[in-house]
Amino acid sequence: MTTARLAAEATDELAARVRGAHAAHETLRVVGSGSWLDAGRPVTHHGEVSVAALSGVVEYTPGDLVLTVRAGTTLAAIAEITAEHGQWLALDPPGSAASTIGATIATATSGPLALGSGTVRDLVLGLSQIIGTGTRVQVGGRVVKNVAGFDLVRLATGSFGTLGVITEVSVRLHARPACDATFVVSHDEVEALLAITARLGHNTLAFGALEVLNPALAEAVGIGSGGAWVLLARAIGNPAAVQALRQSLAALADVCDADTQLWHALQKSDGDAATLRVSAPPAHIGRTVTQTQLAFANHATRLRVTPHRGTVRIAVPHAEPLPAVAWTTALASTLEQLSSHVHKVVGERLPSRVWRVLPATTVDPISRRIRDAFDPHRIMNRGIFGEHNA
Amino acid sequence: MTTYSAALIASLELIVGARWVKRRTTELVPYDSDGLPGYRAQPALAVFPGTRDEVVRVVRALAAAGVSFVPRGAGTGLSGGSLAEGIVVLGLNRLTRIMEIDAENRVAYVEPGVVNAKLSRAVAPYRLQYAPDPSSQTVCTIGGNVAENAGGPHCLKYGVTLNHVVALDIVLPNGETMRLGDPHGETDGYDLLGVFIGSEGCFGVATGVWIRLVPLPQSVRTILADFPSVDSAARAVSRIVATGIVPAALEMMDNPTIRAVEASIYAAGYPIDAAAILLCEVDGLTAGLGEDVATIEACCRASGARDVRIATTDEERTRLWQGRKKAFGAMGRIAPSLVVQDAVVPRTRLPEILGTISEIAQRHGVKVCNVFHAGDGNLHPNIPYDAADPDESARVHAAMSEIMLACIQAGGTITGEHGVGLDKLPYMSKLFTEESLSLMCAVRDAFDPNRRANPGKVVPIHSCREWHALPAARG
Repeated sequence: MTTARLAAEATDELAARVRGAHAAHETLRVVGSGSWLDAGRPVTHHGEVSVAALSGVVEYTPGDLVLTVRAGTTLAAIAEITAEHGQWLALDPPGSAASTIGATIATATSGPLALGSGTVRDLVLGLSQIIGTGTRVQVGGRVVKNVAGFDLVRLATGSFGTLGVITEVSVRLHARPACDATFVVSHDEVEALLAITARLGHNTLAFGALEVLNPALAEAVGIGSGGAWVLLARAIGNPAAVQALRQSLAALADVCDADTQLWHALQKSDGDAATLRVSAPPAHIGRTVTQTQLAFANHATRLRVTPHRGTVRIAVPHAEPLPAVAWTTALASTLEQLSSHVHKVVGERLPSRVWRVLPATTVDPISRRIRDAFDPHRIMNRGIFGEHNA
Repeated sequence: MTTYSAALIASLELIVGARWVKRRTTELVPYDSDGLPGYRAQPALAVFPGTRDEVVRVVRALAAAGVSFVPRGAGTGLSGGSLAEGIVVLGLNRLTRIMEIDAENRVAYVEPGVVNAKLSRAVAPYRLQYAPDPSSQTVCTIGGNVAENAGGPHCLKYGVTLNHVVALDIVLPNGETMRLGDPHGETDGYDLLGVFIGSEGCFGVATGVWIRLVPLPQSVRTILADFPSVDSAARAVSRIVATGIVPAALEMMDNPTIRAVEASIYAAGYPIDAAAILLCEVDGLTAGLGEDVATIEACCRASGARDVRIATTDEERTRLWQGRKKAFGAMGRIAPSLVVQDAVVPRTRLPEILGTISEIAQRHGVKVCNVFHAGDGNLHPNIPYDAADPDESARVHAAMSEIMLACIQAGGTITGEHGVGLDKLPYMSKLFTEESLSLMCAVRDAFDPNRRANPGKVVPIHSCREWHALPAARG
């Protein structure tokens, strides 16, 4: 039997399973590769639906720079398929390369490459979905520009599976330019590195990625040197442009060249840490970093600062000597303290008790009605947004 | 014609002042059509609030009376989306204030009636720009751009309206106000901002728009390449895209378009004997731009370009672009009416679809002028014709239908930037299943359960059937 045939059968089975669960008011947990199951709030569920069996390419015409794959296809597999044609899906969400594209879209998780290539939302063109009634729908398309009908692709992206199971996706690819170089600037003071990004001004946005790592994170990805903060910049383009970007940095600080593999190490650096993001207007990034540092002073916290977005991503590894309960309590109180100081706190992966500190997400009436339209019995990933009616 | 209660009219007049409530037929003429020829529909009333607060109060008054309305910006839409037959036009073009330019955080907060090009001019002193640049940018409004998720030539590199709006203050059709998205930080939960943008006025009214501004490029180079065939120009597009260079714009014009432009006051110096030209622009850091230009020139020559010209002065660039942006106006010389069509195909299908379009046009005896965003496969096959001639109108309509179906068959879509409106309604069921369409209806109902905002547009539902029969009566 062909792969396509098997996939069609697996999709049919999945739809039947959801239909049955809908009829029985039975709650379901949607699972991709299962590598990030603790993302989002704890889900109450009777059963699981997995898209792991749904993998592989549905359609790939390299000249179109568009790839259609089944949702269970891993990011590693996509990287391999596209590299053969000198292309890539410019997405580097935190986590392992075994993460599925379906989960990446459902959680709308982007990484450093968002600076130059856009976020998940900018790269998804269309998808097929089994909604909470078991009905199959396709939204969007396979072309890079599309305004036919209401944009349900945007709704599915970042919906954490609450609107249905994504079974197939079409994403926008980029051709890989001639040069992809990584530069490193180290300094004892984070303020000095933020001052450099401020002085780069609009040129900051010409980089493919630009992040500032605290000493703990720099250490974890293998570029730590004596407790220094590290600015990591990635320049992607033709050799002359890449060289010019290097020079713009070199005019402000000592620059070292680094291997592009560094970004993979950064992607995989979370381990089992609790993770969240805080954000504020980019111009306030200095203050945001200070508040975050103050709040998490007592943990071996890893911080990744994205200056142009005004975001600090926080990863708190579980300190071994500390019992899990004490660790959770400390984290919750730290978070509470931080919440009153920064603009916005978004949890990624936190112990269930810590989630209670953060306000629930889907609370406005429009979102509730949308949920009802897709999943009237609220069987899909119930509770992942901390919904009131869970 | 609908007549509204004296109480409703009095309450609208109380909110906006009597002179901003238009009821006489002669006053309503400017609002009986938009940029889509062949359609004319007289509204019952047009109301023009002058402040954001007045917008909210007007929407509440309409909600209390259970009256349907159509939000309208400059009326330059090309899909009939702002037609309001027998209902209320809610005009937003008096709301023209740019309330905040936060250059440090690269955001601006503007009212919906701000003209697209005016915003770019206002932020230029900060070396910033508002990137989406529809051809109508000198008149179209940001609010209209949000409703249609408007694009433009430079969206190839910079993205469409959706990629440039970070938050919206909206009033729902029931009069409640909401903020979607977040002007600075990130958001979680459903992407209501994303689904609102491009909802063609069916989800409510944007009263304030938070724009993400992008830096003006350090340098810009514009390349004009001249091809002996449409096919070779299309091959050059594929070659350029495959290099990894993302041009700021990559536009194609075919011979009928070139001739129309060159015969008009917008003459740009295009070679009138070329079968097709490509207008390609690269921008960014000055360093490396020369290499990109050389690579693009090589791609064009390898695909059979007869000549490649690089604009060296700002005047020359402006002239080349004026020809492109005013091409639709130039076609006005050919015939009294012009259908500006909009469809998208996968980039590799361009040569084939252009051949198909030409064959369809010949068969129906109509003249197609192609001027389009080749870099992202976004076609604009335009047909100049006389809408007063019923036979010609019927042939144009038949040709357009076939072209749409051919684009769908090629794996494309029926609109890349103009919206569905009324014009594309019949094709929605060819593109989406009944299940997908009814889910779209359900999402509309989440915003507007009574379906009073721009009723009968975008999704063909039972309640909008009457719109299909709207006669082509313009010209």
